[in-house]
Amino acid sequence: MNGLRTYFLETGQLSLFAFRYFKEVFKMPFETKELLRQCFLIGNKSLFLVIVTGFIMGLVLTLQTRPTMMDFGAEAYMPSMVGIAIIREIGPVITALICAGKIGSSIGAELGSMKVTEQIDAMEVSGTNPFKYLVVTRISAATLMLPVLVIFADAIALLGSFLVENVKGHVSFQLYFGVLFEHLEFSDLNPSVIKSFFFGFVIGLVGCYKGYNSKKGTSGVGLAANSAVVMASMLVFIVDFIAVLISDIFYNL
Amino acid sequence: MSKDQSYIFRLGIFVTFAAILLTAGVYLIGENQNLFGSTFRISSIFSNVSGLQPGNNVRFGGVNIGTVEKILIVNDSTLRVEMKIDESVKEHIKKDAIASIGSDGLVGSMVVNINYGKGNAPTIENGDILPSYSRLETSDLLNTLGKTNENIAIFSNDLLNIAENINKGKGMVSMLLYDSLLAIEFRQSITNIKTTTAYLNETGKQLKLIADQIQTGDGLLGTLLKDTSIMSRVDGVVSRLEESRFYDQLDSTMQNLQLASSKISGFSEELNQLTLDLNDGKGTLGVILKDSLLAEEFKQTLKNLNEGSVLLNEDLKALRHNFLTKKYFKRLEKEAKKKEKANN
Repeated sequence: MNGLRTYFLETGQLSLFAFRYFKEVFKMPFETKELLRQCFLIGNKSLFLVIVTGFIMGLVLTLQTRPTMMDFGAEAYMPSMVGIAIIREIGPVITALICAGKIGSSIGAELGSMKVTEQIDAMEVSGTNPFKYLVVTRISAATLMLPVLVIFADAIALLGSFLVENVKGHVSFQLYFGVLFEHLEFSDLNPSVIKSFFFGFVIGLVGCYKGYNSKKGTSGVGLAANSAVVMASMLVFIVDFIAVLISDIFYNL
Repeated sequence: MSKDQSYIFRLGIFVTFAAILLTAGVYLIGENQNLFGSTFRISSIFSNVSGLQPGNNVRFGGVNIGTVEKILIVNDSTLRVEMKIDESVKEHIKKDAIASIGSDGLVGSMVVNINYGKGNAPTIENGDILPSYSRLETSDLLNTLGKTNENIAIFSNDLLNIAENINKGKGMVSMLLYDSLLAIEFRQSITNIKTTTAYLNETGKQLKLIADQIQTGDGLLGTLLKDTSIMSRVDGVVSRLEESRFYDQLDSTMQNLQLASSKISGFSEELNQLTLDLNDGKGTLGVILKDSLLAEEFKQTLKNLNEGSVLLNEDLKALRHNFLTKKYFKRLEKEAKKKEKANN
């Protein structure tokens, strides 16, 4: 009963936090410089991680599904099958999970430590809106950067998949991508790009929320970072589920 | 560039590359759906689209040239398929090209195939309606195949029966196949036919020869047919016959002949009666011919006679060795030897 109560309490507070974000994000003045800095920190600094994981995912996915497809004699369908899997699901979700680990924890820890060391209170006293400067910029940066990272991840994953096909099945670059794009449709690309915005939003929101509301004491920082990662990862899957349902309505997948 | 701006620059590179990748992806996907570049629209009417969907490919001679844009249900038996076609192939499609709906591979998605027309129709234009051809659907095909299979089953059953009967030796065919005697006879018949035809051939030749001779007027028939003078001679003979009262004489001869024949008739009747009597066993001759008992006795008599003559023969041999008659026989032998010597 107590668990259920805390769950509803947490959900309500998170919703309020999100509501506050939307209220503040369109309000002047815009913290453009801080936003760009956050974009750089979230986007550029995560790129290497995303590229490595994306490449390995494409490689491994192709290697693992290839024997089954060969049993069916459907090797010609490999590019389209792996391509659609990467574009639709693997790319966004893997990238979101990686970012939930990296960005969510870093935001949670950063804001948590600021909260613990009372920097946020100091900002409020100095006249700067801490929510706008710290939270809005981070959530916006995460929301904007995650789709960009997803695009990189998709491209690299497809390259990895192509390498396996090229080595094992002697498929040329032109043939691989020709077949792939012949089968890809906007109904594959659009929902996945749109839902990565939501992934980024959820990661930034949860990271900021956990950090902004962290408990006093140094243990609170660790707890904030940890719970931010756990909650963000879980929410990514929930959002993914909802996104698939909604895109099914619009695109008849 | 200050340190402050360096991260913004790097962020710019990062975002630009992502944008380029996204644009490239969007372009490549869009290229396949003819969203960019100039296109034109044609449509075709079908009664069944077999699961065709908007976005499916349109092929012209097997090359992807466009996509299906819309499928409109016009009425209960008419579906209008609107297609977006690449402008660059416009000049190659003629107005009499035929659209049909096919499947891309055995389990693939559906495609619209546009096949070349036959004649030299003008080039197609925007908004044209192509004639369509409804291909046999797989289900129809299977139905037909099912019927065919049933028929084959019945047919093969009958065939089996026939084969069995042949093997058992029933009917003409089995006789032909298995009766070696028949084969020999058959061969004999063929040989006979051969010789017959040879004879016929020979006969034909001779007939030809005869016909030729007749044609030329040789021989009796030829003369009859060809010689006109013979007619006058026949006339002459007839008139002379008439003059010599030949007919009267012929008449009296005929009357005599009639008389004689009536007498012969009576005689033959009597003869007939006699034979009947004989058959019935009347009279001596009849008894001799018909009485089987008499025949038996007669046979017995003949046997006795035969036996009697054998005995008599023995008696005579005995007589030859008797001392009373020995001299007489010896003298006969001597005389016979003398005669032989005289002859030699």
